[in-house]
Amino acid sequence: MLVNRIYWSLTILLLLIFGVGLFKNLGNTAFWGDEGETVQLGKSILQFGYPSVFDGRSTFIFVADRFNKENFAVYNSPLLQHYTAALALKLNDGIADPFIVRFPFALIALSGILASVVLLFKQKVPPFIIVRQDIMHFTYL
Amino acid sequence: MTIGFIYSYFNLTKRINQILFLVFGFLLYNAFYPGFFAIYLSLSIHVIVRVILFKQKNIFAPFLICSLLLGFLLLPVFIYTNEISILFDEQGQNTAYLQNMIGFFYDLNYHAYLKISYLSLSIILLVTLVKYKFNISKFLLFKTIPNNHRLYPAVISLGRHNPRYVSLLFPVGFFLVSYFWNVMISQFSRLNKNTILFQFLSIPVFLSLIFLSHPDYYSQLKLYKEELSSTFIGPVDGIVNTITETPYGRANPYVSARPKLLITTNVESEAIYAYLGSQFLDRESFGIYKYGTRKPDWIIPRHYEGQFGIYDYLTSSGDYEKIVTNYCDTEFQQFYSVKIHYFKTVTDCPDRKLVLYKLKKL
Repeated sequence: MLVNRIYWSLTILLLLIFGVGLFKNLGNTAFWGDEGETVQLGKSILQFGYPSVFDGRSTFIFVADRFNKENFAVYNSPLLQHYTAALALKLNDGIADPFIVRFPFALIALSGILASVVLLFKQKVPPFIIVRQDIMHFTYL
Repeated sequence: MTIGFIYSYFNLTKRINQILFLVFGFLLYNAFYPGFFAIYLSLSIHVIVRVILFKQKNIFAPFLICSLLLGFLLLPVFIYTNEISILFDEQGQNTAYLQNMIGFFYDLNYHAYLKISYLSLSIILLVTLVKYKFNISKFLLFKTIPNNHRLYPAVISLGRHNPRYVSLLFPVGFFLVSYFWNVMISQFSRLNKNTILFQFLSIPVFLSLIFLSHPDYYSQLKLYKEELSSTFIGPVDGIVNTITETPYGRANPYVSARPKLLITTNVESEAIYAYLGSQFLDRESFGIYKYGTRKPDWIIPRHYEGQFGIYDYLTSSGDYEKIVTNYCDTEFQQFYSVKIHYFKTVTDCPDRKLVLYKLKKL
């Protein structure tokens, strides 16, 4: 049906526009506090294999006492984000480029949307519904 | 991850979905374990109902095996976190595990998200039970989930809470909103056999609902467009550039490393560390370091929560050169206020200039 083709074209167009937009200016703002924490813990994973508040010289205590006093292992929040940051840092020789560090997180967000679109398609939701959800969802990212 | 985990459960008899169940379960636990436990508990109840009430015994073995495998994969993570939890117990605090769990649910409960969702789902369940006498065949299908959570879109769009705390729920919300909208349109279409007309008529309704829930929605689109074509400069750039003697602009992580410096600051030391890699004394550790012999090479008192004067006894000693920069010491890097797509380079700040103190060379 022509209408459905139009909607599918719009869906793909929106995915392209917002998909490109998501990455276009990803590195154009410096890290702020919470992002810096993720980078610091990512760097410590490269150094010790686990997130640590101590890098051998400095102790970064974002939430007081939430670390092991013997090995400085920290558990302030779930671990996946720190290992994701560590992977990005590893691929960039340990240099904390905001674009490189944020890239995998943006990729995960985009994957979530793509997965939702695929599932909606499998559930036979008409594309015009998906188009409008795309607009709504991407605005949050 | 959430959708993938639930979807794989509903198709668990297939090998590929068993693998996906393990992958998504592992990732979801490590990304957001309160969500993982809540969903896993729901799935466990679902399995029990399927086995006992619907005699679907073929689902039990794959669910049990996958759960055991998932538990085995998650065991090292649990031991790691539990060791730290034990330490907290010894210090007389609640475990980190529990604290985090409470923390996440506190965020979700902000502006009554949990209360409203609980009430909504209770009403839906009650109405469904009374009116339809619990349609058992629908209970077993993945696609009934949106139908059973039809007020979810209303719940997620309520309040003005910072969306980053509930952003993990957005893919679920995206899926549910789309599905429910489709169900609603199809109901109207069935009556009049004119699907396209109702599709078009629904567009202004949909846009109105978005506007009612998020009055800032359209202005955010404009800000997003601006965000894509602008460069934002904030206090972290100012600090890094001043220390590395670089002109006004964005900090460059490829040339900013200064590992030999000792720096003390009261906020965002991790963000500055990401660029400089120096030795840092943050506000917590400075209390211990004051007995040290080496003076910090740089002191950066930030205005954050009125803390600007906390290093006065050091900076007034005569050992430091005061540097007033052209950057503004905003509360957060680039965020003039923590909102979506609300980045701003603040340039007019007579009372909040970014100030650094540099140790004079003897």
